[in-house]
Amino acid sequence: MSDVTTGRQLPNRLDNPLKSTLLSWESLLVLVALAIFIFNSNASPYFLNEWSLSDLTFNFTEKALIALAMALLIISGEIDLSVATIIALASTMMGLALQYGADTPVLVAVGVGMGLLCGAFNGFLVTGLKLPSIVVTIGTMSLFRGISYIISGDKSFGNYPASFGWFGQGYVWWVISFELVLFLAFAVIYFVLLHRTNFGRRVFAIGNNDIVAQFSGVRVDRIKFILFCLTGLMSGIASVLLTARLGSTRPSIAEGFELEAITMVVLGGVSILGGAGSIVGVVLAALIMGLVTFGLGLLNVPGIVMSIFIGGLLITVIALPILFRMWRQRA
Amino acid sequence: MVLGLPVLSWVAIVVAILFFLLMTRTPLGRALYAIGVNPTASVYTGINVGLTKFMAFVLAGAVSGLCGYLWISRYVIASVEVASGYELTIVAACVIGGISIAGGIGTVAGALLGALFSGVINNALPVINISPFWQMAISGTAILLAVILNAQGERRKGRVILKTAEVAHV
Repeated sequence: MSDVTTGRQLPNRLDNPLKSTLLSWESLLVLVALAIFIFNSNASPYFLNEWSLSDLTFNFTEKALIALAMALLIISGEIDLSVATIIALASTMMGLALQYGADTPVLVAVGVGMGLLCGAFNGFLVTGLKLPSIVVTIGTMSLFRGISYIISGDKSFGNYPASFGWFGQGYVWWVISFELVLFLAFAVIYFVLLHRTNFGRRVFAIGNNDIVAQFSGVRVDRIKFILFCLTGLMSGIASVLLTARLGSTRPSIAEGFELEAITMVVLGGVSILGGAGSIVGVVLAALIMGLVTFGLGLLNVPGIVMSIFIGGLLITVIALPILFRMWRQRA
Repeated sequence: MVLGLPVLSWVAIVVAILFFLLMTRTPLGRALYAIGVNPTASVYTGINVGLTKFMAFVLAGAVSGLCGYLWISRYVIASVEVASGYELTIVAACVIGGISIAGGIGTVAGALLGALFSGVINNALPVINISPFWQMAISGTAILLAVILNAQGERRKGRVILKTAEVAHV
């Protein structure tokens, strides 16, 4: 993913005044989020209501959970396009376990475990066999959803126990849903992991130059393998939440989630070439995505128009800093 | 139908021949391979990297437009859902056809064979009584196998080149 092999523009983003640039990027995201929030509250009378805002969080928490792990993966210079189909496969496995009379703890274990297994499979193909992650995950994307289709065919699984449904529909306190609490907890964990541990430092090192990282004693393959496992694990957790929220499983579940998760990561200021980014940005980007889709939904904007907004937002956010830099160089 | 083949196939054949000529007989084709192998060296040999990549995107867009027209003329229906998910099918076809995702390696014939392969998988499985629900998993496995085999082939080629270089040096 990086330009290391070509020798052109060796990225050395760690030398930049990282803190100031990230701060400005994140404050830009905060401003965008505030603007959308104010726009939404003016545009629709139903927006500024604690239950509406609570519903809003259901819009993005599952994708945002995946985006947290995906951010680390993209910072390390890899990508995983199969996350949505991991959700489908884990959900199908949970449905299958339900057919055999599994209880709630078993269901959760099956979902999370299946996600971890799929992530490990991706990680093995990429690090063990030295294959490019983008092609591998296009392949496993087809494979995982294909297995779901083989297992469930044209049927759907349903009738999950009520205690299982709590994971997707339950509230911890007042309007604060379990999904939101879980997301915030994982956001803190990933923030600490990426910005406060050796592991996070190594992820940045690999993303900037994996050859140098290797020679500096970083176990590049092992860390990449762990990152793929983490992404699979988060997809498994997202699968538990989504299945519990919808109360049913079909092989076509979570279609298009991978692109939304990647959109959150890129919108959050993570460099798609790897080596730069922050968890705070990703969390803010997830919030912005939730605000935009929920606000447009309240205004009865159809989904296909919503995707125009998301696409436009993404291109603008990527292009603006580049255009600004070009303009400043010319001036 | 023209000469026993549908017009759709003739269009595909003509486009494939045009792209074969483009990739093997024109400066643009050479430039595309050169940029894929080493963009820095391409800049120093006087290739306009930006323009060449721009042309590649324009060509991809133009062919997609043609396909949109052919789709409408075949199914006589246009909707937003037309060909959704095709981008990954097409990348998969290229990979199965031996085109390196890292760039610089691949032929038009390979891409054509890759596309034919996924076409055969999708259309032949129901004929031999395999449930259509198996299609997706089988094409996924095919993509993974193709990537693994291609990567092995490219790696071996690399070693051979290194060996001959050493011999030549001695």
